[in-house]
Amino acid sequence: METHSFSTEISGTLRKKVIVLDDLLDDYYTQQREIDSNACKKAKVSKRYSSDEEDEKNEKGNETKLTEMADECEKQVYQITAEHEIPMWGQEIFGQQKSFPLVGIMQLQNCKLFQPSRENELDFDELTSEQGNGETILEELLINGWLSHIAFISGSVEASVASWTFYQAMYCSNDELELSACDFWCRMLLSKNEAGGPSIVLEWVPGFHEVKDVLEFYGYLFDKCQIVGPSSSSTSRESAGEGPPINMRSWIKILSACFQIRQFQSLFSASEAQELLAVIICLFLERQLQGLSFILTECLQSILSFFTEDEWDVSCENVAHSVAYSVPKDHNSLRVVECIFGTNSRSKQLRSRMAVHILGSIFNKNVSDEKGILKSLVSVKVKDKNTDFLTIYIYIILSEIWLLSYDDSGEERVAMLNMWAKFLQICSCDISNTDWRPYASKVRSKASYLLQSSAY
Amino acid sequence: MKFLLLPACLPAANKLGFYRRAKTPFVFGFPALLSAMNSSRINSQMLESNTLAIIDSSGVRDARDVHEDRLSFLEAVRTASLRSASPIPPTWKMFDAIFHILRDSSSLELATASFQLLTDLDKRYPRVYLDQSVSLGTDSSGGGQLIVNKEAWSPFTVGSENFYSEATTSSRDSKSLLDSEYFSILVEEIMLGRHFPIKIVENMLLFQYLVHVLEVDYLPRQTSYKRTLNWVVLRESIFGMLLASRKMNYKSLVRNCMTITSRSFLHGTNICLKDLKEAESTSADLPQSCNVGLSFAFPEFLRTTCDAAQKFLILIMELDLIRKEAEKSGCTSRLDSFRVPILDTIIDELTYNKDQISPFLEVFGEPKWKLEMILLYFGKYCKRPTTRTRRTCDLPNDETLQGILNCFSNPTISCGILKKVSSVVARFLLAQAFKCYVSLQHHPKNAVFLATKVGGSTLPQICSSLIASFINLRQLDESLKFTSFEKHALFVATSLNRSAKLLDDSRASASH
Repeated sequence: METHSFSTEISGTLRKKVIVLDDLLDDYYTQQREIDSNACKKAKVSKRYSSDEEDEKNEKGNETKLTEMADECEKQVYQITAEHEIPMWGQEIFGQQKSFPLVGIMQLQNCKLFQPSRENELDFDELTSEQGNGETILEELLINGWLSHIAFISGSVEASVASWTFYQAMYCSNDELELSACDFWCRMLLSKNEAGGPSIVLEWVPGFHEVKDVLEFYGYLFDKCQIVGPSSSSTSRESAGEGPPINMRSWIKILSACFQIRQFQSLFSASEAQELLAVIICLFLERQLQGLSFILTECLQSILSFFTEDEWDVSCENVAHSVAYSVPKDHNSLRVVECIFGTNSRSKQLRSRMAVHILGSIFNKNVSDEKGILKSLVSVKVKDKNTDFLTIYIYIILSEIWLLSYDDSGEERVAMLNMWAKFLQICSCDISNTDWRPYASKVRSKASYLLQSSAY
Repeated sequence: MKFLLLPACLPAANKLGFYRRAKTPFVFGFPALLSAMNSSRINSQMLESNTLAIIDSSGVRDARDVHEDRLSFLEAVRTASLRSASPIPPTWKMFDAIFHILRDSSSLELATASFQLLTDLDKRYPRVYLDQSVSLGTDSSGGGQLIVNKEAWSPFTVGSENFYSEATTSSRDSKSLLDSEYFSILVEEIMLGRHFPIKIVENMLLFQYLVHVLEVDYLPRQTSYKRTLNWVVLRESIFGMLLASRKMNYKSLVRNCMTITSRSFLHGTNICLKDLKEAESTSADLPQSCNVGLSFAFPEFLRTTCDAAQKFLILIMELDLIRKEAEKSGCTSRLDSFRVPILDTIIDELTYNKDQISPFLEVFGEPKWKLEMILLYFGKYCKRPTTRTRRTCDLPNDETLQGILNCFSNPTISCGILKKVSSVVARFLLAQAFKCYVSLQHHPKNAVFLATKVGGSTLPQICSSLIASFINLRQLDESLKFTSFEKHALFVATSLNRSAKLLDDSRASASH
């Protein structure tokens, strides 16, 4: 067949054959493509079909499992970081400063200080030409320290000079003048003669209202409801006039000196002293003042020693109560108790009473109901999923300060200590090592530390 | 996005769990050990391991955790060693840890807390004190016997190497303590102030603490010396050994302390207030709030540092005074290395660096020593003809305030002096000397000192002499302008003179 067709219509068949072969190939390829695509489509269809029908449950289960896992991880990561989002102590207890009043210059005109020099025997032009401006001279006398010498020579400071220098220390924006005025006042208040009495008579001294007014001008928020929130950063106070003014240090120092002279001159009543003590404790919450903790501590100690034995117990309770109810129940409540660095018995008592008042306000119990407070404290569940370990941490530290500050070996106390020790044991043993929730590990460490240290 | 968190969070969480576990101390039974453990040594060892466990920072931990752990460590030490009904003194390792926090925490909160704790501990557990209960039979002054606790911790290694090597094992980090060389470097660093603001403040607090340590170690010994005349107790003071050490440059230390005292370093506070503000907000990896208030408190830190430097200088002056006495009575030996008296060093410095005179003396507040310095300074220039013939080296400083004022009231003598001392310096020093005189004058206890340094003149005499010398200076130079400080000195002199005269007049009229 081949030879026959080859011989007869070689050219025609050849051409035809070539075309046919090409066509066949083309056909074959197109067919093959169609088959492939069909098979592919079929496969896809069948796949989709099977998943929809048969594996639907499995697939969804996997997905939810994965999202659950992711959520859980996210939660754990959040919890790990949450510890760092719990604000540290710090409160903005100063709002907007008021514009400071101008210190009266008027009364300086008839100031006796300048009387003798008006009839100066010396013929110094410079000395006489400046007589008119009493304030400039007074400022210079204050800065170069002559003013206190003049006071020591004359043995008294007249009212106009005393109040002028006081308000310079409170409101003056000139650093040098403010500090000189503050030094002058502290030196005058604490001056002593050989007999131990004051060697200087101050014809004017600040009273409670003067001191409090100054604080109001500084923007101190007496009403704790006005407090905006925790001071997490310094950047939130960019506007001028917010936060405590730099003169705060002079206020603290002069107040401290005022409280040290009770045996000669009592400038404050016991209730006023209580209020100022509460203010000083609250000042410890202001982060801006943390560098001044030395002078704050000194001031706190001089107020503590101001009270007489009769006044002390009542005053201690009052101050502890008012501070406990004004402080937020977070790290700040630990700060107000821990800021009392003193180690004398009054400091210890105040710390202890403050701690129990704060616990009382948390559990809504009267402070006299010590057992009740301890019972509510001990009943806190450690193993619960929603346990807030920061609160437990605060409870542990406050209860430590409350129970271990004073030494009293009554039977009731021993029972309370045992109850507390059991609670500590729960905290130290029942919290898992791998509990990553914020403060869980801190509660555990603190509890075991306390158990350890109570052994000696 | 959710899946991406997975590998990152798990190892971190594991780490946290692992290291936290390592930190927890072993738990003892609570009441059982209450009675059993009463040996103080075991107690302090337990306290040490328990408190140090709080700051155990093995492994990588977050900066805030380290910060909070350190704070609770300081609080725990305070409670156990100061507040407790039966306080246990901290061990050396605990002291070292507190000291380390003071030096190296980069946090204002920690630096102030550790500084306060260290000073409070020093008060409660002094290294040197006078035991008032052991009074000596012959003693009438009321001072007790000097007790030196040789095993007490001290931040200095000066001269006490033998105690340390005896009492401690190799575990003690020798780098954690200071020698005299480091002390002088520290002073220089404060003066130069090249560090970050928080480091400057840390250095300042460290310096204040060290000066405090030197002072509380020195003062009881000084009291004891005055009673027993036993020079050895002073030679053995940390202060004495620090100054005798050859490792440091004594002259530059004094010079640096003078600069710090005069507050001219850092060019006031203004220059770094901007840096301070920045330091508050950008403190490496610590929580921001740790350093808030740095700029607010900085002037106060500056002030207390200046006071500490001044106190350091005064302590050397007092030691020098006693040493001179001891030398006279033959108590010193070759064991006391030679040292130039500090007053000579200061006077030299003020002579060659005249710009320093006014800032240094304006701030230097101790009137006795200030008067002494001024008299010495003038003594170099206005030797009276009678004293010139004598040998000056064994001659004590016999210049008196009255003598100097007389020199300046006399036109010919003062002309001669003014060739060596400028009129500005002379007037400033005269007014300062008068101020010292006035402030010393209100305390009767200074009467003996004043009698030797002033020259037996009464208050009105000194006042009139001051006025006379200022009038004289004015006559020598018509264009002279007085500073406000000098004008006020004159003002006080005239009013004092006047009131004294009035008093005399009224007394005279009353007697007639």
